[in-house]
Amino acid sequence: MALLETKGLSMTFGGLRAVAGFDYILEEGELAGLIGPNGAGKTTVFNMISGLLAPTSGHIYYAGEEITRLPAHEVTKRGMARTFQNIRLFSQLTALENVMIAFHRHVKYGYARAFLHLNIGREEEEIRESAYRLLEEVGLAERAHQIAHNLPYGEQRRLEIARALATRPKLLLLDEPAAGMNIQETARLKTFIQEIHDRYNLTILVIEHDMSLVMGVCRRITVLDYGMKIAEGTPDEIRSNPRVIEAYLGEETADVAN
Amino acid sequence: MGLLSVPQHRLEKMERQLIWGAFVVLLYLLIIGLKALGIIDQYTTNNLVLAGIYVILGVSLNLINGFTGQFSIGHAGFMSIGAYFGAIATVKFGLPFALALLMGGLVAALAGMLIGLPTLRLRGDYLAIATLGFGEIIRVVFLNWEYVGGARGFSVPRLTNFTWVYVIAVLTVVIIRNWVQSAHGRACIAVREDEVAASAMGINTTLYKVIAFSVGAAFAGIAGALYAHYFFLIAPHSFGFLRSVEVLIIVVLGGLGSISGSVIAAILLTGLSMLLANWPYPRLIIYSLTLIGIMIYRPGGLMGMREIALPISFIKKKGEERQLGAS
Ligand SMILES: Nc1ncnc2c1ncn2[C@@H]1O[C@H](COP(=O)(O)OP(=O)(O)OP(=O)(O)O)[C@@H](O)[C@H]1O
Ligand SMILES: [Mg+2]
Repeated sequence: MALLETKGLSMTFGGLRAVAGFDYILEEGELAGLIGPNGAGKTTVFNMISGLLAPTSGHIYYAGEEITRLPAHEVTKRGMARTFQNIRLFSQLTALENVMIAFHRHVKYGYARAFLHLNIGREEEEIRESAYRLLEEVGLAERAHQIAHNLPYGEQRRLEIARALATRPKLLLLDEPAAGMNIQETARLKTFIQEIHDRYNLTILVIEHDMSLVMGVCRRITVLDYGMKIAEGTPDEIRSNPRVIEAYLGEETADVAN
Repeated sequence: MGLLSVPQHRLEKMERQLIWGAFVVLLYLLIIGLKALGIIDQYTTNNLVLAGIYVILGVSLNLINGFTGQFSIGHAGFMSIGAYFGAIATVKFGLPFALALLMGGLVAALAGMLIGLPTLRLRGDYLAIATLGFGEIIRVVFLNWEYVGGARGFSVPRLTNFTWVYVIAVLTVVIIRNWVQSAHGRACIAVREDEVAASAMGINTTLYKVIAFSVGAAFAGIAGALYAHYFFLIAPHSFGFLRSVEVLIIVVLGGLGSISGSVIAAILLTGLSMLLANWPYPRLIIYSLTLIGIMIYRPGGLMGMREIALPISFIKKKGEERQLGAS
């Protein structure tokens, strides 16, 4: 069964058609890619799927349920998490606190108990320990008590993924996780994405400009240009697709050809 | 065995709570003692009561502005609702004082919810303007409400005393500290840090803003009811824009996001205005200079986002001794 499906998904900003009639199916367990030139509408697609933007028209289904126009926190509750193209950590808080916050939807105690600190110690410790364990699993344990803002760029990206994982998603959306990373960091990220895909039984959809990453890690790739899907297929099919090469002409032709 | 099987950090937490508890009780006994000896006179007592009321106002506004990141400047409005409805409860309906405090808090919380639901969608400056407007509207409403005396004011019996204010100020600090040190309080802090990211983490940001706003309003209402029952007469002009600004100064001076900062700033500022009571003009200048100085030298406020922490090395040592004794 499709885990995620969009039908005729469209978004218009003023006169600009950022996304136009985007039909897409993502099967459970896939590790798929979404690429396209700058301004193609990739992030806008993520924003609509994750509930941060209400589409102008079209439908979104997640695990068989229509989620079009649900607010972001409701979408997250249903088991979807994401990262952001320009990192959005809680930058003044520690790495550990960032992850603890993302456990929000699993917190069992209510408001009254929070005000009175009535028997919340045990659960708070569990949250803290789970958050710490997650940081260990992504290799950030020694950063736990550092302010997120002060971490090196690559680690901030990794922390953002850890934070998304803390919501315990089935579907993870990664928006340009390799942006700003050097070659070594990107290579490490590639194995990391593969690892979390297998370890947490995740379905992953990743937007990425770095072709070495997309081509290396995704088994199926969809290409957007001017808000429309222009191609879909395996990395090999995409590499040799003339429409894709044309869309990237003058921009990243070399990258695609590699 | 009992105590020894408790993990070290739990033990430290218990000891910290004990020390704070002892401090709170001793401070109370000291003030009561000095009062009985006549060293603290009526004038100083009035100011102690006022300081306690400002502690409640400052800490509760900090929940909204400091911890949840919503810039509200209408706290005097909520305070006046609590003052008037608390006073109506005792004067018009003859209800017991404790119930009047509760009523003041509840009506203010309700008002907070009503104002919060539409306005908390607004951001930054717009929210500030909306809350400012709310404060003014409330003032005009009471000004024209003859049932509570209109512009002439509303006389209220003195039912508040130092003990009431002290106990409620301590409760306010404890309850709001508990909240911000819980998963729900972390959700408020997440809203402050990055609202979009917070909602992507599954946090209902509107809900947490409304909770912070209503709880903040509730405590401001209780502070208003305490105020009304101490100073004999309340009038709409007692709760004008300047009062809101005073509370805001306390929060900024103490540090947005620091409860102990708000407590210290509330006491400092009340003390300062008491010392300068006879020189109203220098008082305003000193206020302003203090604020400018803070902005320049400590832009995060006296405490930044930190809290006063007890030195725990002392406690650790005691813990070690215990373990030695056990072996
Ligand atoms: N909130 C918005 N308001 C107005 N226009 C927007 C908004 N968000 C995106 N756009 C516009 O929509 C188009 C698609 O933007 P989008 O960010 O989805 O592209 P993208 O494929 O993610 O590009 P990039 O690779 O540069 O991240 C762009 O022309 C962009 O300027
Ligand atoms: Mg983008």
